[in-house]
Amino acid sequence: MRGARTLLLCMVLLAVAACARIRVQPPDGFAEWKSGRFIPAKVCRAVSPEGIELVLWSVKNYPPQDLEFWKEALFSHLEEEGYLPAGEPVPFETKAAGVVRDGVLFEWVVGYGEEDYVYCTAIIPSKRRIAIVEAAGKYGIYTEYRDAILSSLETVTFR
Amino acid sequence: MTVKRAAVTFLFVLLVLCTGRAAPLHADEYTAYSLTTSILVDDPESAADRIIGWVERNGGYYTFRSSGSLTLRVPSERMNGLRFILNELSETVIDVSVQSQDLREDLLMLRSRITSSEDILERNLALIDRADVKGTLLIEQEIKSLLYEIEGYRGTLRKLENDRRFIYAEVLMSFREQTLPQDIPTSFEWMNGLDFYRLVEEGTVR
Repeated sequence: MRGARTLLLCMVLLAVAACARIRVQPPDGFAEWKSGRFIPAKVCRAVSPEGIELVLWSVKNYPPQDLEFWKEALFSHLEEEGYLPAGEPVPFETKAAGVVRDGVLFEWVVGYGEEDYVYCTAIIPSKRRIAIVEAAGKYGIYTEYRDAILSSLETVTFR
Repeated sequence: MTVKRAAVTFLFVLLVLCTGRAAPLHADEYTAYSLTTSILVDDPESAADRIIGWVERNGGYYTFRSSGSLTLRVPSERMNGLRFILNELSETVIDVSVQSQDLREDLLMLRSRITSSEDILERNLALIDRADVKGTLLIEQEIKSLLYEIEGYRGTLRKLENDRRFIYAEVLMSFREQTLPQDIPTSFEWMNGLDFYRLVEEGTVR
């Protein structure tokens, strides 16, 4: 009886672990927002003391396409919406959990209130899913965290 | 009548001396450049101070300054220097666009207009002695209008000469007044969830 309970508990834990779809190591100086003690996050969030927010989520890679396709599609879409690109796209690699995946980061400039903001959008496609990272913050503050955000992107893991 | 004629003749001579006659125009020296750039800087005020300082040290000047933009006139030969300093001072150069315009046709046209107006003025002056009172008044009116016209041409000529010698540069350092991004639906559903305003205002994922 006791053995069966332990087995059941292990199965539940394994199932929970399997559901942990997405993870990222928050950028240095960011605090992670926990969504719940036992429920694995479908969305990861981290925030800096100044309010720069980083959100990571994932969607099904449908229609199944590679990085080049999604890079082009995302850039065209956001540019068409009126976002102003701040420099060239930044390619990066996620190296977490022994899996290497290619991703790309776009930075956009947006005027908001009395300030200039930077809006980041990064994508990391796999065969089945696409991890998406968004971050936004005032330009002056963002530049201080830019390197930390780039390093953090390299730690994204997802199924 | 003699005093009047002397005054008008004096004005005419003065005008001719100030205007000068057309000189042959050479290709490269008659190109006006304008540069428009958007740059990202950490502190727009201090960046503006530094850019203006550089421009003034290099023989240029600024014509407009606001918290997020500058309009500068920079000697044409300093074009590369200007681009270098803008690169140095900004974190990111978002956009640079350089336009050039050949001014020779405009300059030649203005100079010939001035010359022909001066010829008419000269003929009018020659008629003054032979005219009666009514005729003199009419000629004076004509001379006045010619002088006004020539002054207008000379003003435009001076502006073109200035455009030739100084680059017109507009530097945008703020994006507050840009066209705001709008929601445009796409067939890739997840892309519709990307929204700067939602992220900043609500911190949520759609």
